[in-house]
Amino acid sequence: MRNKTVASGCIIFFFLLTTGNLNAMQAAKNNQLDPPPQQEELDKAFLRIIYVFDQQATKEDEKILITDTMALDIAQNWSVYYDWNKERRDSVAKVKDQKLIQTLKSVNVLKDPENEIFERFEAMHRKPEIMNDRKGEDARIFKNRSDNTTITIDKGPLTGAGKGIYLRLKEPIPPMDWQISEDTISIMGYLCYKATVPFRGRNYTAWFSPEIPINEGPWKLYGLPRAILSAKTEDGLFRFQAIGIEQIKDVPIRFPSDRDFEEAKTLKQVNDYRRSKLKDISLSYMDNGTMTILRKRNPVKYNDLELSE
Amino acid sequence: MMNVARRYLLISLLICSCFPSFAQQEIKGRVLDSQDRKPVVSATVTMHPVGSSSILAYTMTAEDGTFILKRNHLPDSVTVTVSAMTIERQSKTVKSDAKLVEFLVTEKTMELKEVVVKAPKIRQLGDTIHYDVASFMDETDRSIGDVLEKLPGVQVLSSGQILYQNKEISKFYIEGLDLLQGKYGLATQNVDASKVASVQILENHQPIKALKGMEIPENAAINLKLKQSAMGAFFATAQLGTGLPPILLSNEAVGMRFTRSQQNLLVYKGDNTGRDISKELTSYYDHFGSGPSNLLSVIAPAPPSIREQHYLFNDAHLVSLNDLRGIKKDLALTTNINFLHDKQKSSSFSRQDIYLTPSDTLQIAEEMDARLLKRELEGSVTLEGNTDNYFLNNKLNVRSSWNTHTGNIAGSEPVAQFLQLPSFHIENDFDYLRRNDSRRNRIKANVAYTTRRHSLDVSPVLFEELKNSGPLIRQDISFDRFNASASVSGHRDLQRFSFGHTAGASFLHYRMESGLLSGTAHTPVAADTLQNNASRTEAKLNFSPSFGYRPPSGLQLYFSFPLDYLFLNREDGIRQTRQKRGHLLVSPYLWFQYPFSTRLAIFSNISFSNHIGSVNEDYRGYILNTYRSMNRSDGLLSKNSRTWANLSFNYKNPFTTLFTSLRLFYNNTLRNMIYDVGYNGILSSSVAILHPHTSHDWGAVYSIGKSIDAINSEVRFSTGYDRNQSATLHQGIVSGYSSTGYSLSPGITTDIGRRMIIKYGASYRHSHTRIRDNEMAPVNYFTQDIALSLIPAKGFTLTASINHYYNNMIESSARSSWFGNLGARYRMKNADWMLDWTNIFNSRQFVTYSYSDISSYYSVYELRPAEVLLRVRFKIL
Repeated sequence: MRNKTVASGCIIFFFLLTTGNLNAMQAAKNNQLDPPPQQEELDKAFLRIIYVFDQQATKEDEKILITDTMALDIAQNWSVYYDWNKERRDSVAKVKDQKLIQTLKSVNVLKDPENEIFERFEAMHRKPEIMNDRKGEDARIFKNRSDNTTITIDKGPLTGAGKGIYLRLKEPIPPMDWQISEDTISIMGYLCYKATVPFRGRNYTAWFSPEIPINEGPWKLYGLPRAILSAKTEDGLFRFQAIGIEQIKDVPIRFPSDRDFEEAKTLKQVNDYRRSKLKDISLSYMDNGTMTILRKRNPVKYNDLELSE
Repeated sequence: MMNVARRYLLISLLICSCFPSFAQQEIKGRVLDSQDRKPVVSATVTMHPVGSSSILAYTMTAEDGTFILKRNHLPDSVTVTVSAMTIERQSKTVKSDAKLVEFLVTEKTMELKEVVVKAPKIRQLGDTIHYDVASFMDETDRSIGDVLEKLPGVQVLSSGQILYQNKEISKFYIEGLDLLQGKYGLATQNVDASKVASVQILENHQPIKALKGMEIPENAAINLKLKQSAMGAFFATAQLGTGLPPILLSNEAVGMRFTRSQQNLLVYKGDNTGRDISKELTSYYDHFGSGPSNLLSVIAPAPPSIREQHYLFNDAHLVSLNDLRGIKKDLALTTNINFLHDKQKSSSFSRQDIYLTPSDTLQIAEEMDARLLKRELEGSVTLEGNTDNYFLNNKLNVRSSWNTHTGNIAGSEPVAQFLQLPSFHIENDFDYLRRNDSRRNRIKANVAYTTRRHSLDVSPVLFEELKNSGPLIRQDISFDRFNASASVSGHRDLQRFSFGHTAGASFLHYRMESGLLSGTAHTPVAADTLQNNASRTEAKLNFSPSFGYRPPSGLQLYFSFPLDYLFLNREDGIRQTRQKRGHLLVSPYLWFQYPFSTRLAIFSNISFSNHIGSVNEDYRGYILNTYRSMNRSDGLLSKNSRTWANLSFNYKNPFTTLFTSLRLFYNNTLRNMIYDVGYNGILSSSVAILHPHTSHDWGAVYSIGKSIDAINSEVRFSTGYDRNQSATLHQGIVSGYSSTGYSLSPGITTDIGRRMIIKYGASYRHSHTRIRDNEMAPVNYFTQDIALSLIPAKGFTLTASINHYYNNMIESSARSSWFGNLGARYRMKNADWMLDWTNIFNSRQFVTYSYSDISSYYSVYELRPAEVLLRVRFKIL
């Protein structure tokens, strides 16, 4: 067994970071820290559509459905698609982490490829806290309709002493060449027409409403004359479904400013990192101010939304 | 200047775009602001056939407001529409060879129909559906049972049993633990809704972890997820209640504590206000068979199917002690002890018309009252270990009861009946399963012993044959039953297939003695025809192969073919006869489920089984079952075979909160014998004779539930159709009968603003009976319950409710009965005051009319008077 005990603030930082609350940690440790400079405003959103995003995954050979609630804020030229619940969830976690940091004395980091330590803890009735389980969607998709670029911003790896970065990928994605059909459906009381398109290895069926004259859609999808209210892949693995629509007033669209950016070169780079993030989970055990962290294989297996570039 | 430049640009664009393709036609244009003639950027431009909204082509305006629409083979004229979120939509119908279409648009922000998203009431994660309790709870709800009734997809029957999508739930957990072992009425009635964060439905729930994914049951389970603040602490509440007339009492003390490894629930209740607390001790898991039914009974008023609070004259006390503790990792010990003491009184006038022959109708009219005294004590200890690799469950259950039932028939010749029903039952059930990779082995064993000493006293005796021995007669029956069974099974799970076999043996020994005793001195009546001393021994060997198929498509198929060899030895000590026979019994069973999608699934099962008659057929001497009937069996052995098919469709959509299910069923039973009932006045006696006949029943049940947020309502509707057909034998004449019925029951709970809540439920049932090709008059039965609650101030609720019952067949009195109730509730910080005035119209009788096989029943049942009850409920801890 290879375990070592480290008791330094640096390591505490390092691991708490994986919970995705860099801001909280910094604020907790370093109260006089200035608020980070804000990124410039890209546009002002006037419309918000809320989607549920379902994806099928497998957990120990059982099919499970993972659901996120996503928001699409739409402005004249820009739009941003992000996890609508994440902010709320993160603020709850922030409070928890602040409490934790005050009581923390030391941290043990254990690699546990064979599940030995995990089983030993289980036998001792110790219940772990799952640290970096997938709690919502980290990636944000910015679309600039005026020059047909899509910018993906996702949490990237940690660099050095507790500093995280964002991976940023700029992709030129021209509006998709949708095939419109005469079929109609009603979503939230909006009449919708059907359109289909292949995109990055999957065939999409979307429903767009002539009543919302804006060329937008969830995730990277767009290119129809009207807003897409529902889209799903032909295989049924992924589905976006609008559940709410709200006219909002001048909500700024801007890139996040709490981490530095690293420009990703290819989509593969972003997706590979995303996959590796989901492969393992960290479990933490608290005992008298000592935190023990185990890294374990994630029992949930995800499908890739994009199969090709 | 700008305009000139742009026009040149346009012309040059026009020229350029002429070259690429001639097949494609195009329409160009531009969009300008009507005020300042500035180009409108990023507006969407669509081309439609004239008079249609379907889209032929579309594009966006460029930086300079220009657009080009391209399309092959255009009709002569088309409609071009310009729209954006910031401009007023404009359409123009143009010839398709139009060179340039110009739109001058005015600025206008579009108003969309907003759909505001709140936290979802229902969420689905994998096979678990979470209902957010706070979203379904209103001011009038107290216990979690009040909320369960409203959840779409969940139904709570009047018995207290919970169904999900028309199927009974298989387990009821609190924080993942089964503390109550089936008596979940204790939880639904006593756990405060405000302590529960969410109700989870675990679909296709497999309670044995080691069988997860191997054997997938059809039934769902419920888990209560408590709020963080309700975990770990011990809560105790008490209620004191008193009222008039005469003296009403409704008291209780409840203590509970829940964690994920230790749970307690302690309940004392005492009530004489007609609120049936004894229901809380009903077990809804059909784990322990109840054994043979009682042979003796008192002719007593049959309760009407109305709210029990109107007719139940009770005086009940119950104590329930439940404890669950983890004694080792994944090993829990559960102890449940329940005691019930209940005195119930009832009185009614009833008239039964038996249509014996086309010309002969027998009428039995009885004015009666009865008193039932229930004293029941039950205890069980369950040890359960449950991990991915093994499962162990050992349950020891002991039940004892000392019930008596007293009945009086009034009239010119009054009859007194007194029934004593002492009974004792002890049972141990053992189940052990171990899994190693793809193999699993299971051992089950069960040992049970029951003893009953029942006696029925009748005075005076009406049967001529018994009269000479005195006016008082007592029928004694005693029986003892011992049962032991064990089985071993092995399974092998391959990728898609699983194969298994179960082999087992069981042994049953049963002994029954009966005799008549006459006079106050209880002198035995010597006649052999009135005595029984029977014993039965059943030895059974069984073998059952099974096969499962689970392709990745989600289909689940399971087939088993149990084969039983039953050796039966029946002995009659009075008549010195002995019958030994072997029987081969088969009961093939096929089950499948297929999920068409995550929302829609189909389930079906088809089974066949044959059975040999039970011990109740072994008595050849007459037994006085009631004061007016005597029966014996002639030693015939009944054989019946049953075919059963069931098909259900379940649809659920947690997002739209729509839950609906349809179930179709068919059941066919072939019986080899029938009881011939002979009447001499109202006295009946019956003997069994060989007469093969078949009964069928089939039908459909449909239910749908949904939350409609636009009107703040939970809406539900269920409907059913059923038909059954069978035969009876009376006075030597075989009569076929059939009955057909359908029912409709809508229900709604609506919050009107924050000040008013309306609950409405109705049920309509139409049924008609055919006896020997004679159509009887149809019975239409209609009930409605409406409750209106006003909340003038926070914590203060006023409720008025009306129960209405209608039966079209009642001729002697009003066809409709109305009950009115008023209630007020005031919640203070630590106490909850409730004042109820029930049956304010003081209705004292309820009239029922119904059919059953070839009889019709008319009954007038005595009700509770208008009553006032004041209760205060407060926290102790």
